[in-house]
Amino acid sequence: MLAVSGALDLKMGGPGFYLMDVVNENVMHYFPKEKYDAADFRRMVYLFRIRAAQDGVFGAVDCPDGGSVMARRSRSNTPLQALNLFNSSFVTQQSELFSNRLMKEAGDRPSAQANLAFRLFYGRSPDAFEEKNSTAFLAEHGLQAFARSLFNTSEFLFVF
Amino acid sequence: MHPLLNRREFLAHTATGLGGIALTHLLGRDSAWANPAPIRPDINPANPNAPRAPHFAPRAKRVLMIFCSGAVSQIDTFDYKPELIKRHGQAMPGAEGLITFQGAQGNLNKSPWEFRARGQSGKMVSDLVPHLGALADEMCFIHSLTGKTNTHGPGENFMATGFTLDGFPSMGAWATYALGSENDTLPAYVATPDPRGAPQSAGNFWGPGFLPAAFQGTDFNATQPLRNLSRPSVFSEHSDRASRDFIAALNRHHLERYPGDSELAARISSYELAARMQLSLPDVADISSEPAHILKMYGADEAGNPVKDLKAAYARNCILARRLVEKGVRFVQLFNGAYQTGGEGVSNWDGHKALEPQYVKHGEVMDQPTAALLKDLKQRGLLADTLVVWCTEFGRMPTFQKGASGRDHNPNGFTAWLAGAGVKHGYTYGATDEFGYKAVEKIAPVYDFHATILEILGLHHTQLSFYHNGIERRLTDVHGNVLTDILS
Repeated sequence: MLAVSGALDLKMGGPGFYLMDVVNENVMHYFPKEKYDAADFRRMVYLFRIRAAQDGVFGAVDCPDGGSVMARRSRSNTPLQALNLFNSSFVTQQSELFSNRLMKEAGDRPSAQANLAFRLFYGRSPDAFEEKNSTAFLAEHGLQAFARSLFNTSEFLFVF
Repeated sequence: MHPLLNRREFLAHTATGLGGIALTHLLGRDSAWANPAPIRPDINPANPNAPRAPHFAPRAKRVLMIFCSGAVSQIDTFDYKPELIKRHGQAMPGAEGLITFQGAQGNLNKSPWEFRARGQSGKMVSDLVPHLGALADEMCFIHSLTGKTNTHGPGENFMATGFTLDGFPSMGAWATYALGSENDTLPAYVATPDPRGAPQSAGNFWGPGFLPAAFQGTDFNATQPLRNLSRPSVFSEHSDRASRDFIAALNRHHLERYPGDSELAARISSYELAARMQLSLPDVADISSEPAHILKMYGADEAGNPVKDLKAAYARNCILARRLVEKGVRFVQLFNGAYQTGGEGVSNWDGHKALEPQYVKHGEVMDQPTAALLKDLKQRGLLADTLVVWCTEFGRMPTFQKGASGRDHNPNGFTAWLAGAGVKHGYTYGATDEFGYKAVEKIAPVYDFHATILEILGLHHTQLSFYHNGIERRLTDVHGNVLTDILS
């Protein structure tokens, strides 16, 4: 998502980042962040993994507990994942960042936008069916809703 | 230096060893020593929460677990000790130099609350929890629980997952992994945090550990709706619906190129389920449709000071819990007490230094709403197939801490109660010593408690397993005996 929206920060090294807000009582308490900024858009190798709590981005999608080796990752398909991908502040924000990118790189013609979007999302051009539906959707609902939709498509979410 | 083993010696030494392995194998295969075969439910990733049959006829279909953070004192609630009252102010025999979690002990200290005989069973329950006391005939008390740690986080992990360390599946995750769900428009497993916040082990309490993410508890309560349930405000309702249609159209188009791919089909159906959940969850979480007499029964209509406000907020969570049980949610967790808004007994039951003034508030918040929940479940017939479990982290000392007016942590003997389907009612199991310090009769490690809950759900605790990192993992690890005495 970060790569597609153009937000991914590839800088190497430096301090890590949190996907949690931290409150310190007797022990640390962690709450999934609701707002993310550029400092959070780094490669996951820099993520400060919290073992005791699930964050808002990866928590619903079989991200293994950081405390032990996971020989084989489980895979599940749940409505909570769908709700996260469809309604979370993270995906809403990435959709906005993507629409800014597309405006800059493809201009304001829906067919040029649809073409570049398909190349960025799927690494291919849209076929006739997709182009027709995409331009119609873009004309009526705009770029951010378009990006939100593509982030939720099977072809984007699954690796074949 | 040890001489190297030569070939002849190696064979001589290992002859018995290798034979032993073979013997164990043979015994294991045929005799009563056999380890029962692991039972791993067959999970369809496309519909992980589809209902699955238990291992044998269950006594209960679902569980409501009420958990009190901070460690409720058995001494001040359910474990009546006349000897403690008699020897109030004296040193506890055998406790010279005993150091518990925070330090040295003062003298034996009777509870500030009177105990009274309740109901037909005559069970002695303290005036701290009179509403719960009135329901003693419904309850099955276990006074002889023992834990493995006297520290909050590990104690919560232990009660929640059977392990003191992080990273293991919670009891509800095991139950939904085994049984799936009866309701396909609600999560199979819901955790309802206290209005003041989460327990210390937070997400561990309802986490999936190494089980698939589908079996994690979904956390929301009557004040804090499920995250990401509602549409972001930047998208209109019209655009929201159009996006769903657009996604569905692109996915179907994509599926045509990969016919028969069940994961893609599952994706589509999980979006449909998410849409149904968006409709049904606000409905179940909206308690405004409850009639006035129900709100009053739980204390959800009280207001006017911080304690009453808190009681009302907790009462609304209790009503929510009943509604979830009513809808067939497999495992509901209801929390009382939290940490991040005030440790050391301020927002939870951790009464180290000022037990009486803190417990007065906690008792008022917990007692009536929890009792109303039990009564309401009963009057709706839900106790016929729902097991209710009330438990905490560990117990507290019969002494006060040196120089303080509160009790330190004590995992050597503590109380939990069960009610509803599968257990005897008005029954007491096990006992602590004359002061309530140590379990001495029918000692029940938390493993036994877990084994019994799985038994009531129709599951073999020694067999329900998940293969992880080379080990067939179980809720009860390599321990656990079902407390058959308490089963109905």
